[in-house]
Amino acid sequence: MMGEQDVRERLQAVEVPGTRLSVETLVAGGRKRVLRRRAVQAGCGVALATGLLVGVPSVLLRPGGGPDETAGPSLRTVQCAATSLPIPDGMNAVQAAGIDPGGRYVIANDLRTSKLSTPEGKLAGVEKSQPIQWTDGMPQVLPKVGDWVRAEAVSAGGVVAAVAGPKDKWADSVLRYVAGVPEKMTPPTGKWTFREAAINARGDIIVNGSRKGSGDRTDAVLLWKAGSATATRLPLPAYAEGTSILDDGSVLGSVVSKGDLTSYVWDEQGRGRALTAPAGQQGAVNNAHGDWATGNLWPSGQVARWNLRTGEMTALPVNAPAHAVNAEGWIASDGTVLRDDAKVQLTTPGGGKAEPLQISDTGVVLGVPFDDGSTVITWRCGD
Amino acid sequence: MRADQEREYTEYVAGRLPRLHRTAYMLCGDAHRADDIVQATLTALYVNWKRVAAADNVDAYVQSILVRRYLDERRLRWSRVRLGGVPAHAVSTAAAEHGIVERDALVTALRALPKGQRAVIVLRYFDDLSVEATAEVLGCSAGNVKSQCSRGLAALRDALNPAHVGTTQGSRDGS
Repeated sequence: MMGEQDVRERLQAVEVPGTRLSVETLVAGGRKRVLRRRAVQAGCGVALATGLLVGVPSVLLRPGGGPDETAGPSLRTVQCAATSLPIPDGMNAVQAAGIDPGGRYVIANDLRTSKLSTPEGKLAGVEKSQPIQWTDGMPQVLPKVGDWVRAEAVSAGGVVAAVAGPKDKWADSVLRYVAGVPEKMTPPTGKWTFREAAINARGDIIVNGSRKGSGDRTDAVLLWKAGSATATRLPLPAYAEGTSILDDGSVLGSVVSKGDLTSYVWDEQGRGRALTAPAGQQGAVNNAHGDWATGNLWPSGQVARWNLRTGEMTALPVNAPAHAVNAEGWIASDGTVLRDDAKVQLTTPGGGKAEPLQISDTGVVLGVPFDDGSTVITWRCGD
Repeated sequence: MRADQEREYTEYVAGRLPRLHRTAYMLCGDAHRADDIVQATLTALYVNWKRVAAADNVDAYVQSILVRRYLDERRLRWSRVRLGGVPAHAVSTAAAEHGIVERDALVTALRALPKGQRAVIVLRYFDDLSVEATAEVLGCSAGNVKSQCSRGLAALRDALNPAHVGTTQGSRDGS
């Protein structure tokens, strides 16, 4: 009779075809994913006072349920109309970065990361990045300050938060564009690098700041209030990272301590409330908007959604990065928009696969083609 | 990701890629789908390398992600597309050689198992994980692993040794 050892030996003897994957391909794919997710995190918009905040969608609450299981015959399919935004001449590496909650303003960057060899290895910083802002579909190339600028978030009023820096280095400046005109913000004293800007309805901007030599460890989450060019250091725990700022000034983010990651919502005084996670899992918030936050659980990798009003957490059986959430609780993830009342189909204008990165409160989705072409796509998925 | 962290990730992946691909192949039985599962797993790992690398057991994290990718495969967009294009497993002329036929039979028998049982068998007997480690990867109890393992082994025996089925059936009938 076949015993355990027999099974072991026979499994080891199975001839497996070789993989087509290479480490280089995987690293390149990972970099692209990080760039996209950072763009999305930074592009966290602000909630309009829609008054449309609904209860937790029944689909998402169903234990063990997921988008496919919920796609019963009664669930309608929404085929969202896709539009490729016009790209300014001469730009061929444009990456979508953010959309405002009203769906009027879109930002992107013609961006190329550095591939210089340095003592620390490659990928030292940004080789070039030119920001673009579309208003009602019309592009405007935003003026650069310094060698490169990366637009990261846009408010419902069209105010753009951006970071900037010298060629092949990390960002050392924070910018605010009002009506397309840049204003350089005053950083705290000392040498800093900046990443992942977010903005709320008032135009308050938060940015993660690292002191020179700290690598990508966050030494402070910095706040520039609307209309002010002077930074305030938020009173958060050591090494806290901010991902989103809500309209009331609350900040969403996470802290890694002794290998454990915990996500929080902090008020303006720095009082934190931990976002819950199932036993054995850690919740990493990626984006928050209105009453909702989304992210991923680890190690399961599942998409998580938190109701910030009630504290309730829902784990969705979807294993893909949760990019963004809107005021309705819809989540951009896994090539679609996860919502309770419909299956959403997103394809490029040419019928290809696509990845959504951001979603407005009006149901306008911002994304990119799956093949990473230099295209910025919006879909109208609102009712 | 910082350059030094990326170098750590690269070294980790270079050392684990063949094994992860083999595990994924054992789970899904198709090399292309195995690539998809591994790619999705390692892309997620890259994005979260900083926090995963701080964990005590990175391998357990990665195996957990990989198995969950496999278990949730039907729901994933990329696999839905891929599933339609998976070519049928043609038996090559070389498969006439007994050993290959036998190994193909094992893969076929594995594929006939429910996904959960297949995952338990692969983790226990291909990846050589203990019952406890398998339970941790799958997020279930050790008792559950034992019972799934027992059922999976019994099903494999039945599939690979029809005579055994008859014997078993006969003894059941006779009892």
